[in-house]
Amino acid sequence: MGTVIVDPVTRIEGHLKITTEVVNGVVTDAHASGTMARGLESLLIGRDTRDAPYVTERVCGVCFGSHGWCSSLAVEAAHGTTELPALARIMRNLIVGACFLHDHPLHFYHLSALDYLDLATLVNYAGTDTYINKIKQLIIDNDAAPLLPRYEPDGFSINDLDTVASAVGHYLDALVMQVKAKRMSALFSGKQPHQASIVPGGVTYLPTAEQIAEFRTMLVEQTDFINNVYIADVVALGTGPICLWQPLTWG
Amino acid sequence: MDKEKENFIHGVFIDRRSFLKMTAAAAAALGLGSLSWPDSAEAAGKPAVLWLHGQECTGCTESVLSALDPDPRDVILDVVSIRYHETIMAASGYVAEEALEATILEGNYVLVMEGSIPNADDRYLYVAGKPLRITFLEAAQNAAAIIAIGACATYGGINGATVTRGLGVSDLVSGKPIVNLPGCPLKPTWFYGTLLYYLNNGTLPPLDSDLRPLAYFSRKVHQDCPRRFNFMQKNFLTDWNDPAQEGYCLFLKGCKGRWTRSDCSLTLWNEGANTCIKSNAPCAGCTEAVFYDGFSPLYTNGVIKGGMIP
Ligand code: SF4
Repeated sequence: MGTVIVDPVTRIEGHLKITTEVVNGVVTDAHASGTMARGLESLLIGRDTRDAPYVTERVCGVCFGSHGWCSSLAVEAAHGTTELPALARIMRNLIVGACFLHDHPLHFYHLSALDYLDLATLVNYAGTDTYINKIKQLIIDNDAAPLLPRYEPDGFSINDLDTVASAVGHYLDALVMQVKAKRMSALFSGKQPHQASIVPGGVTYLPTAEQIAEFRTMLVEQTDFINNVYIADVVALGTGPICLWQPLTWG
Repeated sequence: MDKEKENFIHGVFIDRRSFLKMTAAAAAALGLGSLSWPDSAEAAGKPAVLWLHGQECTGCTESVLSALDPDPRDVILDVVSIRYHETIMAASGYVAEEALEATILEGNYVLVMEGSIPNADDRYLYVAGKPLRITFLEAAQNAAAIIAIGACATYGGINGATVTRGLGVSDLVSGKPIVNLPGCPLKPTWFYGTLLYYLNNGTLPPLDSDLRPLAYFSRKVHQDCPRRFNFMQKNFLTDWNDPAQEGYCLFLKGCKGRWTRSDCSLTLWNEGANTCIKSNAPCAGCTEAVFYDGFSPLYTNGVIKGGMIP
């Protein structure tokens, strides 16, 4: 089959190209190339160190929080700070923890799941979910972008109607949950994406009692979703392709 | 207008409640009485959108999807036909590129640009084996209008300051309706309001000299800042640990609100949850053309570059 190139690899943050060498149906070599550079690292050379978390935060707008947080730790280490105030540590953990609630399900549902689901199966949907019926109609009208077109479904795609309908339903639910998780984090950090309150040395903000109460309420809703929907789907779908059409061969 | 027709927007039913909510919020944001998504009789199908990613972090896409009004599910399924968007489209590789080429040939789409175009060397950004600059210029050629979102796509942003010398849309394209919605990231209301205005009127909303909608960028952050009284009293915050300085002006911590036009102080972020200044962090000036380099270092106002004098 020769060389197979996927460029762009979509549903990631950034720009990626994958080149594989295929011999008799077996991948014998593979290369991954990041095809974008911004030069953020060299931008920081010689700058005021307090700018580092602001710039580094912007490495990724999907897993926001993490980069600014780590950059702050690096600046603190460089300045010889060995211990943060306990409140700053707790606040940072809550800010970044809410980001994890946002981007782990987002990675699973919005970035990965579409590779494993044969959405065209939904033309046979006979249930009552408004949004899934909407998708069904869009597929019939040939107007289902950005969900279709896609690569032809292969032996790794799930085309069991109930499984696809349930997973797509959760894809849509997760779209709403990720909005709420961003709000949770913003309650303590100013805004999301790209928080403002984590600075070298600690956190700028002490939230109000109302904000802490709202954070708690929203956390319960997120935890319910994670425990009852996300984990079940990860176990069902994320542990490997469900219907292998042939045993995997390792080249 | 009969009820059925009223609900039937661009060939797809959307729930009437969310439609009204969406319309009201976006119209209010633009200071207009009423707006609605265009009537399906006038246009076949949903309006096509091409969404290109330059040098970016996807934070602007994330921000557009950080509103519950309009519902993100309606945005993806109902409001527009997103033919190309690297972060959400199911297609990849040649299937994605074919969709892009087909839509460019069709023409008459709205081009949303997120991220900058490297000016120092095309090799800083290649997609599908060719410089993104070339793809962007082709897509811009046949676009009905271009919406540049975020600091990078508008004025270069942080990438404008790096060795790659990232440029914004209006540095590369002329003779097209272009609207700049800067910010790092932009705010979702700016995007939905501007798009809705364009789809209703076929023109862009009134813009300032930096091509930003006046509706969102005519006032400075400083003018509406809740800490303005403390600014005038010269109560400047110097120590974040001092409870006596609660609510003090952040000018000495580098606040750029005095030079920054945006409605952040009025409508906040994440559906009214908070803002940079409300969370005690200085405004970084991310909606201004001189951001980032002109405002760096961000956490002091001791040195102001780009012709700014405190
Ligand atoms: S915090 Fe910034 S925007 Fe607010 S009053 Fe002070 S200088 Fe002006």
